[in-house]
Amino acid sequence: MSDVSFEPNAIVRGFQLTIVGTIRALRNPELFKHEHFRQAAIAVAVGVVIHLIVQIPIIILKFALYIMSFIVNLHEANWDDKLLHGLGFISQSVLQIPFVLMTLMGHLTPTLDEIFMQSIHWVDTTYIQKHKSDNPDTLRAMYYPNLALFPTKDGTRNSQPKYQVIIGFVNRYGKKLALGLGVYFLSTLPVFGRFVMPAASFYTFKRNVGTAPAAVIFGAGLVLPKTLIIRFLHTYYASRSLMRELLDPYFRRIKFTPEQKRRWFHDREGVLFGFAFAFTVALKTPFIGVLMYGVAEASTAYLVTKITDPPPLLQKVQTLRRAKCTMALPTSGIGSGHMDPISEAHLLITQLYDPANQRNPARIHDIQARIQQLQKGDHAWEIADSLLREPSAQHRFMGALTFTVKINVTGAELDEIMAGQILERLLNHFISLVTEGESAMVIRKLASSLVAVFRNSSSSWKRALWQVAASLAHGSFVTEQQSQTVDFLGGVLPALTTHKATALTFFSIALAEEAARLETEPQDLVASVIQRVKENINDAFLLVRYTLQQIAQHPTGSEKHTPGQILGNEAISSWKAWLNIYGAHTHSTEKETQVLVISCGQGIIELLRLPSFSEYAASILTQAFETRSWAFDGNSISNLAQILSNSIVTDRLIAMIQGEEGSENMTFVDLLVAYVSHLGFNLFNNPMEPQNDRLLAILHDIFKTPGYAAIDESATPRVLEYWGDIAETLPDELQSDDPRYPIVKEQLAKVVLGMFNKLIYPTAEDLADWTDEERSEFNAFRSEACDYLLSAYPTLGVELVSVFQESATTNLQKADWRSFEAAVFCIAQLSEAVDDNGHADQCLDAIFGSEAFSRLCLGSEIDIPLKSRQTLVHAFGKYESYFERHSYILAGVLNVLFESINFDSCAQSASRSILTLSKSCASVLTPDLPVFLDRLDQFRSRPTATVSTMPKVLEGIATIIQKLDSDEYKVQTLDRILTFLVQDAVTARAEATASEYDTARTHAHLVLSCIASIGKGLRADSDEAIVIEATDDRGPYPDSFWNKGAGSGIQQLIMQVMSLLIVDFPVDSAIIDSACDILKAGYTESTGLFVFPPSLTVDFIRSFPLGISGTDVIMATASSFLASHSSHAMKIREQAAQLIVHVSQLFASMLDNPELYDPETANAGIDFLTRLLSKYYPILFSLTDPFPSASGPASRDTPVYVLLLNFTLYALTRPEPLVLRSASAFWVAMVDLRGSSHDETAALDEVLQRFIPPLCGTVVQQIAGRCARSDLTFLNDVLRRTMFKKMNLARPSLTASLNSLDVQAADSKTSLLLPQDKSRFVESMVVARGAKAQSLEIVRSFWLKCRGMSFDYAQ
Amino acid sequence: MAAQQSYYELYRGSSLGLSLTDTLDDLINEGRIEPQLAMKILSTFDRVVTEVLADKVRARLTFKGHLDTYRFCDEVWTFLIKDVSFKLDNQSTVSAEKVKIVSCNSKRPGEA
Repeated sequence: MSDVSFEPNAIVRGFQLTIVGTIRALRNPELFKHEHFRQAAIAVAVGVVIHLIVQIPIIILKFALYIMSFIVNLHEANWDDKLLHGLGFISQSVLQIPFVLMTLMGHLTPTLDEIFMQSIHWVDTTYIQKHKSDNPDTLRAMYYPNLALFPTKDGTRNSQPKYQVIIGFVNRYGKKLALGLGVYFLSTLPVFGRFVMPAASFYTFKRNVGTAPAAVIFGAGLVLPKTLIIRFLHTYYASRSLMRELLDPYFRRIKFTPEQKRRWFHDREGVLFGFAFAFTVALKTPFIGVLMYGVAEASTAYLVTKITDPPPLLQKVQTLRRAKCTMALPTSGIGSGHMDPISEAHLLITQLYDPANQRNPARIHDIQARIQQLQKGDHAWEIADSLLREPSAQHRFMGALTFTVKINVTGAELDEIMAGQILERLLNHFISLVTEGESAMVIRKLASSLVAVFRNSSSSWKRALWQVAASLAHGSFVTEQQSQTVDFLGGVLPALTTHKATALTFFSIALAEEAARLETEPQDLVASVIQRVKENINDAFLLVRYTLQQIAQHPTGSEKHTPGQILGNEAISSWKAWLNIYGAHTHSTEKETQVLVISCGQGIIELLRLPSFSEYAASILTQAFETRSWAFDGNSISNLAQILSNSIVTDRLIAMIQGEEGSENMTFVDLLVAYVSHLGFNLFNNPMEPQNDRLLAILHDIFKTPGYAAIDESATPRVLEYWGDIAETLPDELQSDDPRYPIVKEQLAKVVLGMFNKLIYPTAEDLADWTDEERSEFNAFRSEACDYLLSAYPTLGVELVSVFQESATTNLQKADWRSFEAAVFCIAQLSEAVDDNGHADQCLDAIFGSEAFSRLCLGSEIDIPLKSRQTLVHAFGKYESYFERHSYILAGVLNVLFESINFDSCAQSASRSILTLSKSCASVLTPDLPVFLDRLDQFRSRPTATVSTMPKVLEGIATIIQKLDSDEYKVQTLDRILTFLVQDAVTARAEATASEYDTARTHAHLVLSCIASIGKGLRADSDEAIVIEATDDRGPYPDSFWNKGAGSGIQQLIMQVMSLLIVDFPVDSAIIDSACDILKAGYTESTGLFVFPPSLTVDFIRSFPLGISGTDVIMATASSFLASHSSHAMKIREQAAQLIVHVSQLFASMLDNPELYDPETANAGIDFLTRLLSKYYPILFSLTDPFPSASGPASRDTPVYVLLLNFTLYALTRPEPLVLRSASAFWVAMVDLRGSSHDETAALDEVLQRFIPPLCGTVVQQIAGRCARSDLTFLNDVLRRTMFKKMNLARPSLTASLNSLDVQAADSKTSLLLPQDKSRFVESMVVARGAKAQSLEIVRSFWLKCRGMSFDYAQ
Repeated sequence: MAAQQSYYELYRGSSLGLSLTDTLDDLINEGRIEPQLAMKILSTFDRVVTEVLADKVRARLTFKGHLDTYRFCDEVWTFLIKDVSFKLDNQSTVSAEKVKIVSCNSKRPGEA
């Protein structure tokens, strides 16, 4: 094709495309709205003006020549002709100025590029419309979306300084001009000159269009006149040059090498020449020719679609840009399709805040996404500038935000000069907006933009506050150096208005807060910024102090939101913010600043007196007292005490105590508490300072605040917390002979009396209005109060109990049940301090031995409210030791308890107390057993007899039964209890048969829980040590009274119940739990009712299928079973083997059928194996045959133990953390196993020899970045133990596994692990010698290396 | 606005913290977030866990045991307690053979 591309048909085709392309372009309605035509119009206007300016002297000169011709004979002279020719040339040249200007503009602004892209979009659109009836699959691909995905070739072009662009442009045109002139002058040489022009043409033409056309032109050059040839060549080169300019937007995106580009042009030479020729001529039209430039660019888009294929999508570009494309498409509908970025940003922000869009989150999201794109894009600086000049505050806010975003995304690319320029721009905006009275929202945002400049690592900005202040005072930007020529405190600050001072304080706070954020960043990156921040600390505090002084001199009154109040509050915030920075860095070294800080604190303390500042000042001072107490000296403390005890602050506190004002005064309570906490025990110095005495009185009076604590008022809990701290620290801080000790003790006692009324439980009416959360809040407060009582007890002693005892006794007599309840509640809480030691027995005797209490025990004649009853029965349970010592009261107490168990709200506490007291006093209660059994018979038919109460009562009774001397008597009582439980079991079975599953389950659960509780109660005394390891020759199920004697009937009853409620019963996890508890009840016993034959457990466990809920409990029971028989393991060999085979069957079904995989079963099964290993491994490894029903690929022909080990290896690859962990624990146990004989050791070694290589392979695969980070700890345990214990096997296996490992980077497909990395890993693991921390670090590093350093964030 | 302070990272080792880190790893692996965001999330986790444990948790327990070893180093107290019995709010008791308590100062250098 190359040699025929420059041929007439191609040229005609190009010309044809010019016409069609122009028509298409002119139909695009958006074309003439474009910025380019505005620029072109300006260029034309400039050209016309210059033309006129040049024409005036030319006309004057021509007129002068005309006048002169009357005097001088100009026909003879030729200088006038040369002059006129020259003037004509200048005139013609001037006409080209607009063209030159527009060509230059094309390099300076992206308007032509935008026209090209817009037009190509238009061509795509018209193409789709034209072919909408065609099959979409046959249509050509779109140009616009694909081209838009490609970055422009010189993406940084627009961010280049403009002078560089101009220099480049002048260079290129200068070279062309010089070459043209050179050829021209050579052509004027005699003889030789005649051949210069044709030869030059031949040379260039041959390269571009081929030998034949070049030869024709060379020949014509020798024959035709030189001017004609020059004109032809000039037009040819001009059109080529124009074509290259017009195609520039295309080649910016489609990256060609110079050679490819040359070939591209070469192949299309004719068409391009034909296309550009017409435009070259049209562009030469005086004045309006330049307007055709934009049309030519638009037509070029059409040309491109005809002479190229749609650009191929590079996969990577496509992936990276897809998000951009999809985000850009919806917003293209918002604006005008291809609007300039600045206008687009304005429009988007208008739409963002448009109320019509507020209910369309998807649209808001799209708009925000596009705005963010623009804020990060090349035009962000211009957009920010433009937005800040908008009349709308929202636009200005976004303008400030754009600055921040752009500064942050530019990051390290910002050099010092650029940072300086941005600072100047920003500061000028800041100053002008502040001067115009801008809103706080925008000023704050701009302040944070300034901070973003400060924070940039290339910035060398140091005394930022000084410079900003000086610029504000000056009214425009001043340099940092200039700013420091005026004294900050004496010169700059006094020159600031309130508004400017507020803006400066905004900036000051923003700077401090940013510095605080930097504390959490890696210090090596931000140390220099923090260092620069520190240089501003003094200025910041000077500003605060100056502001506070101004406010003190000109108080603003009580009005809110005045400029003065805003400034004052900002100054307070600024003090707090800079206190953090100062405290974290220099507070111990900069004594001068320390004085300044303290004087600011004093100023803020003084603000407490001013109503408009007092609340905010109080909150900031409270925080400062709690964390920065060094910011206050003696004078500050003294001033604060004065203000707290006698000022408007005191008035506010008193008003709150009297119930006149509400929670808004909590700030002052917090300050009061912060102050007294700061003083510590110095508050109680003897003699006490008058203001402190007054403050203590206020603290006590707070307990009188009306309403329920924590619900209606928050002051009491706050003050109680303070007293709790005092009570807790007193014994450590003060000796009992310290003069302050009795004062503090007196105060603590006063608190007890003060808070008592606050502990009274709300009435039923009040309680009905409370939410659950409020009830819980109030209960939490009562718990806090109990903590206080326990803390105060060491100081106050038994007197504390006597206070409540008196209250309880008095109120019991008066039947003031609410106060009685509060007193009993406190006594119950104090049981921890007095129950065991009997210190308060006298006080307790006074209550429980009273006549009123005896009447209460007798029962129904006293109608005690439920809450009081509940608290009382709870208190009984707390004094088990006391009742053990005073067993004569027990009968009455248990009477109250059995009576209370019938009330719904008391049943829980009462059953718990019955259990507690029965356990502690079982021996003394045996004579009362028949009474209890009667009460039980009454209770079991009550609605309160539920699974949460009944088992506790039964356990208590069983504990008493256990203390009976005669086994026969035990059998009688148990028979009485179990008979009704069997009846209930039969009922549950019948309900299940009738498909009433829920009721059946509830009953079954209750029955089984009751039996399990009886089992717990019947256990031998827990004080007796159970020696599991003891050698037991009697076997797993020795003959006893309970299986061969009179008790065997009872055991049969229990097994009957189990059978009724398990076999073919709709069990759930609760039922399984209880059934397992029954089985486990006998595991710790050597003989007894609950020691069942081993087959019962084995059959029970084997009866459950795979995947049932509660598998973990079942397998844990199996483990407990084996553990209970570990002393005679070989005697239950058969049962142990059955259990192991059962587990292997479960595992085999999961291996053979992955859809049946159940993590809970896997975890429970592996856990079971781990636990049995130490004692039962000989049985496990003796299972060398497949289990009988094995038929799947994983189990067929596979020995049981191999199947189990294979499954544990598989579990190591699972994503479920628990399964992986249990498998890891199993392998750790495996590796740690030691054979007790030579044969066992040999067998073990054989197993390990077989399994360590696959184990190493699996672990290596996992730690090579595949497992989760949290799994590493467990996999490391396996690896380190294996390496340490079985080095000779593990080392070659690990090396082989690593050698076969190939970890590749996701993007580059390069290998992340080098051979030396692998060998280093092995060596490091060997050197670690099984040390946990060391090997974990090695494994973590290996995991990170394989995953990639992006995952290093959590270190 | 309260100035930001740094928080201890020790809760990252809790099961919640480990699960969060694993989830963040997964999100980074899928290319849905950047590591920088993951760092921010972990910092927020450090802060929120500390605040919630301080402000919201109402549960309490008491425990008794034998203090075996204690030490105070770099503002960190460590207690090793043996045969510990925990009494929970609901009166239930939990026993442990050995418990290690590590307690860090809730106030950082520079604070009072």
